[in-house]
Amino acid sequence: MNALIERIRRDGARLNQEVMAGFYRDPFWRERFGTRGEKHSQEDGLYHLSFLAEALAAGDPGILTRYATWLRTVLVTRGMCSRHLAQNFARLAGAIAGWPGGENAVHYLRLAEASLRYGEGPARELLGSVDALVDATCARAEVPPERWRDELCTLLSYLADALASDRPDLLAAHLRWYLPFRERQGISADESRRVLAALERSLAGLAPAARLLQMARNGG
Amino acid sequence: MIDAPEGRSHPTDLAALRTRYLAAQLRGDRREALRVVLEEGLGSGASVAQIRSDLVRGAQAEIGRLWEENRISIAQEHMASAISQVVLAHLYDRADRSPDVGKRVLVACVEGELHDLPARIAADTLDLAGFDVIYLGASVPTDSLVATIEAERPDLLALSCTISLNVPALREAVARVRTATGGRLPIVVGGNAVAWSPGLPAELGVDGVGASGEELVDAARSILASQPPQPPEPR
Repeated sequence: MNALIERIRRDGARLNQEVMAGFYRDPFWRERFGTRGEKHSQEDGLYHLSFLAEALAAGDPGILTRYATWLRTVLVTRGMCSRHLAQNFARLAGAIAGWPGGENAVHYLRLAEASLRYGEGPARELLGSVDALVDATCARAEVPPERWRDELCTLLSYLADALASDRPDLLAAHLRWYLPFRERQGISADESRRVLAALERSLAGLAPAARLLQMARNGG
Repeated sequence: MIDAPEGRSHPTDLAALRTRYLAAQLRGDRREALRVVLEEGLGSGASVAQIRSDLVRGAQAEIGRLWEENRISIAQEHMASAISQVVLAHLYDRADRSPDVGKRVLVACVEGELHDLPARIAADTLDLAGFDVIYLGASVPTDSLVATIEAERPDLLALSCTISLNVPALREAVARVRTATGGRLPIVVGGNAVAWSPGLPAELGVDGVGASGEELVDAARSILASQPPQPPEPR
């Protein structure tokens, strides 16, 4: 275990750069958060590894999971969503999996990912229906699922975060930025609005989520 | 911005005082923050310990939450914390001090730890409880900590660690101090990082934990009870 912890501390910066480089191949990150955001992302990645090392040293995954849920509040109120953080933990786990003894770190990172899933309420209900909602929305909007599946999963994460924190303004702020961004990516505003409208209709059985999405689409 | 309700408080309505205190902090209104604490708080019968705990620490916890939720900026957080430092100085000045207990306690934040308000509160509480306190403040380099311990020879060391990222520095400080003192100096630890890692005190083998100033005083009294009282050495 000590060797694993030492390696995380010694090689963490390089590992973090590789993971961040993967994220930043998606233009979303630079466009959404700029160079300042890139700097914070790099710092956060190092913090993830520091807390991981500390959790392993103490034999207490709670150190990492408590950090994860605390950080989620910080990040979702600053324009990110839980899925982004979960993906970061997943990519770190993927990178460390091949290290000697890495399975311990992977286990802790998977627990951290799991800690980001809402355990109760409308957010939990929403996230339990993601696949069905994505399929229904794409069918209603008559858009190719391969163009929208990942985007909808992320949008649903934003929606779940807004539901869990009772902050429709967070989703509203994201949508205000998101629609022009998608247009710059070659997806017309009309298509994006059609998808959001289809998503709202698909949420008919999840009233709190549907109401919040409607409020956010109307400005929060 | 947070709106403060008007009117004076019931003597025990510390929650209302805390709301007004916090509002003053976030406006950067140092004088109003002091007025709330000294006139309305102390003036209505609340003790220094209550105000320190329920107002200052309580407001600080709320400030932390507001920053986490992006409702205030880091600059506002620093401004509010700086006001609390001023308030603590005034509270210290107005508090009654217990008779000397003949024990010296060194209080320090570990290297890299910039959040010194909890340690400041701990130092003040110990001082007012009659301990001879050497307070080193924020982010004390471990080399300097060890040198100070060797020079000042405290009876107890209290280390503060708020951010979990500084736990390696806490481990290093404990190990280096143990080496330098032959393990003879009792050590207590405190701070949010310790609260976040419940197994840490046992892992470090420290002699006690102080989650608050009062808890630290209790731990110090308990640990040092078996030692004979000595007059503090002149500094």
